[in-house]
Amino acid sequence: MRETPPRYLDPVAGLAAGLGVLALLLPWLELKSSRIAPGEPFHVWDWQGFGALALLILWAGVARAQGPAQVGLLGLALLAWGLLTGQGADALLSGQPESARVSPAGGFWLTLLALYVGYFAAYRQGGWILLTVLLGLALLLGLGAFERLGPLMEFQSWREQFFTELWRHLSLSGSAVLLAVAVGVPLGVLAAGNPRMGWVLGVTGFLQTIPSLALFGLLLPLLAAISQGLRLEIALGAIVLGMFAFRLLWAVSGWLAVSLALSLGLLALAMAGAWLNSLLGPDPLRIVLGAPLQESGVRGIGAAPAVLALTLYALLPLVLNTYTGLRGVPEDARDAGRGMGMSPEQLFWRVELPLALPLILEGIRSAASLTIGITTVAALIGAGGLGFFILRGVEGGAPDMVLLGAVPIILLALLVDSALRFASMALRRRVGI
Amino acid sequence: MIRFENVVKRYGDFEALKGVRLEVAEGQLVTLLGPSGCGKTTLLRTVNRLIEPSEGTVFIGEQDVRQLDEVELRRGIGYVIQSIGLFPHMSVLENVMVVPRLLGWSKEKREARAREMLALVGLEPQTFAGRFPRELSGGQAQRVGLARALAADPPVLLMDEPFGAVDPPTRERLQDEFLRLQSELKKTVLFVTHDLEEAVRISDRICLMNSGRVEQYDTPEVLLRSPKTPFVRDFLGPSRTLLRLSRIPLNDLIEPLGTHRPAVSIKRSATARDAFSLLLANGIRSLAVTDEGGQVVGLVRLESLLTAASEEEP
Repeated sequence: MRETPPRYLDPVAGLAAGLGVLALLLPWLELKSSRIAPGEPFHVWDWQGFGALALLILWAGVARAQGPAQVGLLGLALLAWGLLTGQGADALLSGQPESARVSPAGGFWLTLLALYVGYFAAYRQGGWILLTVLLGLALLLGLGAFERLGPLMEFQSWREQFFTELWRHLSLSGSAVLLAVAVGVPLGVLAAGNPRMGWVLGVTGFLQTIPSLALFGLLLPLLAAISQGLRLEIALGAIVLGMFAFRLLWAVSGWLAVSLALSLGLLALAMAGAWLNSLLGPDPLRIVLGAPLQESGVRGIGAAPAVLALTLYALLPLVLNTYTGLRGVPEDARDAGRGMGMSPEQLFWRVELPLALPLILEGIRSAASLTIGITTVAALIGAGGLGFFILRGVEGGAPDMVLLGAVPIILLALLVDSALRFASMALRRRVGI
Repeated sequence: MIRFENVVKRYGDFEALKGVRLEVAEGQLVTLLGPSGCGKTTLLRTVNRLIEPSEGTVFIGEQDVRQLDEVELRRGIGYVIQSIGLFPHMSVLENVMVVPRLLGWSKEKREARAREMLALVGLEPQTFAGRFPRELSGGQAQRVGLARALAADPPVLLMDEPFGAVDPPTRERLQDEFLRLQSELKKTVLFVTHDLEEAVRISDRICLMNSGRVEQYDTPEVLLRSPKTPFVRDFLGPSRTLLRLSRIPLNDLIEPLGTHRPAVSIKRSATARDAFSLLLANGIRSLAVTDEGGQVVGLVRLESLLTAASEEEP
């Protein structure tokens, strides 16, 4: 006989159920005569009294159930949430003019939150809860449960632009993260290996405290002036010369060398950012020699300042995690490696870097999810991305359009976060730390 | 084989080594013994140039180590440290293959060699090759550390308190197995320890150090019998005579069996110290000695133990 575990109310499941029940008391959908008109609230029982009761019972079950039963009940609640929404949208829109819109309201969102909390309550069931949720969502999308909701209607009318902006969003944040890895990891290695480079941590930490809008404001006039005045080949020449000059200056004055490296480094980052973004994104790459930088896509507005600012923001987690990871390499492992005849390079590549890698990957993960979020602001300086819809929605007073931008950003961040979390966990298990 | 000539190491005003002269003969196992801070580890690390002396020279063979490339030098010296320093991200097999890989051996050759080494230190290659260091007990990890140091068959081994971190029974077993290995391999071993019993047990010669100087460099027998300085006498402590008995094989003290047949017996592979302990415990004056099969081959008397232990030269 298997012993039955003691029955108790799991506080997380209880919270999920409480939120779910509370959500039923709130208006679920809003009916508006047009996409920018004020809405009229409706509760679930306004169109489906039986559905409201069923959902209530399901939530009570989620709070009490355990194991596979809980997973099953959560799956049913998810289905009920979507189906009730779809049914409500149909019911409210019938007999309304073409321009009428139905938007999700408080109850809809709160139930989503309740399902999210419930997901964590059932987290111990491992893959089963993930599978159930994915299957449930796929089923709802297949049935078209959300098709007549406002944000989806917006999506239908903006379909082409949506995918372009999604692509742009990904290329902007992707270029920023790639550049931040390319710059931040070496900086972290330098800071870990050389006590004189400790200021690197301070500088990257300081960068993160600058509000993003202020950083854009600082970069805009600076880049605008440079992009109009500086020709491409001169900029490239200055960067190459700067690398040699740095070595000479370093012997004379550390601070002079560092300020030279910082200014030329920022210029190089701005150019690399604009080009990498064009390479990855929907906008064509243009490199025009013999003309001011702006002809090559490095301007005061657009991708160049956006990727530059995002890269600077993403530096902190990377530098810090690389630094911490390398500092955490056991001194014995280092001593053993040296004592067995590893050269400093071999010690770094074979011992120090592999041992620091899980933490570096953690850094990439936080940098990536952070960047996907802040890329929203890039739309403000004409770089595009999903922030475009949020901006247009706010300006035009169309909340459904704001959602068309916001929801995919959240989903993207969650997706990237969990994918990289999974990768770093697998790596940690491999390395055993 | 290893020769220290007037080796001095200064850290600022502090002199960690104050002019050490020492010669380790080929194939010998020499322990550097002393209280913590006496400079024994510092001295050890000058051999593979993890520490560069401020003055003086270290020779391996006739070669001044400073004239060798430090990386090449280290690849030719086995190195085992107290915390073992196994690489946690590499399997046991990969750990053992580190130096052969650095030396550019082919994959087949280094893998075969690594398996051979694991078997040599008493770890079944089938079972242990794929394990990771975190899955090993302290004793097993220590064996892997030894296998790793031996993998490229270096003539010289440097061991810095290699058995310091394991429990006493495991430590004794590791010491025994290491002695057995050493009797076959005949490496030149420099072995740092602060444990007097360990030093007495395993050494061909002991170099007892104190605040950066060699106090006495002798075989364990001579060191225990005739300490040269008050420091050595203090360090060895009042039970040094008992320790000396542990270096005397019982085999040398056996007398033919007379008419008297002692009731308590001891194996002939035991040491004089074990016999003495057994005599004290039973309050008797003689023991029967048996061979491996349990057959009585003679007896040992308290008087002969006393003679052997007395400090006068025989």
